[in-house]
Amino acid sequence: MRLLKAHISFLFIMALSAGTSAQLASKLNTTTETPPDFYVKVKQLGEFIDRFNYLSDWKGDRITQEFASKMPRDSYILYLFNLADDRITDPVDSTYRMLCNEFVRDVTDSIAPQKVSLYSGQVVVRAQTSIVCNGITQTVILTLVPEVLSDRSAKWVIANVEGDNLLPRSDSLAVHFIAPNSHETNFINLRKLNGTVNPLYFFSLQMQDATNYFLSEVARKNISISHVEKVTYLISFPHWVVTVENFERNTMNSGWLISDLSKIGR
Amino acid sequence: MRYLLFLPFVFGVLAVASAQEEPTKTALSSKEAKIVDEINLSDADIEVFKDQTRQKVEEFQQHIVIIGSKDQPDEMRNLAEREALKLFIDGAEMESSVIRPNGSVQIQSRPMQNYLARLKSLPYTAVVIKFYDLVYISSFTKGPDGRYYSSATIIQEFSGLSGDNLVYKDVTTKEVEIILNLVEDKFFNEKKWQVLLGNIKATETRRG
Repeated sequence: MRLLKAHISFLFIMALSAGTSAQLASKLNTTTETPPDFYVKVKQLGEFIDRFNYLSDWKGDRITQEFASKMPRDSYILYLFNLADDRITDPVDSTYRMLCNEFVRDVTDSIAPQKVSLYSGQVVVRAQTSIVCNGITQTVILTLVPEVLSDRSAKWVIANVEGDNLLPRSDSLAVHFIAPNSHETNFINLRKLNGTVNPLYFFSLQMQDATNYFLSEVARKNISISHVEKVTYLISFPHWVVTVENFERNTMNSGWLISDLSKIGR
Repeated sequence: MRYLLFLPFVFGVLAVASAQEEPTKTALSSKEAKIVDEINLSDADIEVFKDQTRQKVEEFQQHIVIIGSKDQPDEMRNLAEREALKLFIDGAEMESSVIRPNGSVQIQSRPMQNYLARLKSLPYTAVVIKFYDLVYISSFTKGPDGRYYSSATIIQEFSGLSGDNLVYKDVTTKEVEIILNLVEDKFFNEKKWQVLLGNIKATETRRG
């Protein structure tokens, strides 16, 4: 019954929205009334977070008591799931549905509700990125995380790079090295770094990973970024990891939505 | 709406199941909450800047409509193009992504001036551009350079006509970077915040 009431209130809220839209459109002849599905669509991750945290309604306005009485937080969060997921509509196997319900119960617990905080280390981005590496186009995964600085400003930083062929060439490793007896000569050979094609060859094998190779090749202008093909957010909660992806489609259930949910052992 | 009505049945077990299991009790720590509060502006400031952003975005939308409109005089369209460019930071780009019928995405990036110039010379006898009245503006966050950053979502409906025939129509969602820059007004000898537009990511949402 509670969910049914929530849907009636949703229709009421959308009707109010349409009225306001029409008034604005009459003032500006460059604008036209927004179709309701664009209000409901989760247009930005910020909007996803605001809705998840129960801060903003469908229109982006602060949640009022009236809204809250008709649309409790647990019902509201359910709209943030990708409802076209076969696991949700599966008439036989309810495992994923039960998992979703358990997650919603956890995060909407009345004593200790959980929220999403972009700058607390809870959110990680995996950006599927098209690059040109030594003339060859390939796709790599950049992991980005928000970093808060001492002056309380914030930025995104690259935390990791994954991709095929992002390793130094093994034949070059046999050419560029510090000889094993160099310690006896006070490491004179360190000056080899001055003229090297890539200083990474002189570092420990543990450091010769895809991330460091990517760094060195960007510095040498052998890698250039073309564009980001796809962005996926991973949001961590105690005992849960939520995957959020963009679903571009002509339905109300579109935009940035929960595409997967994993439970982590307690 | 179909999905919204469907939802209670899909997740109908929620109310029943909620009483069955002891929930986890973990909240956002006060330290984390403090960080979020401190790197964002106050609610009052955000509302002021959102209003200014909304005005800037509407200004941009009006310029776009004039630039695209072939029944406007050339001088007017050129003026709108110049004025539109003034709204942006130097080097701003327009990245457009089009979803192909096979599901793949074609992404193309252009300097803003090239995008605006191209808008003037589209191969239609008439172009009608309308923006939906919804402008979603995210919160403002301070960057390491002392400026504040946000993004605005606007939705554009484009119609290209050949004679009386509608030959192309699409709806594009545009994510606009918003940059809040503190500038010194030498005339009044004071510092004030200036709203500038940055890169735009345009995604074709639907084609008609």
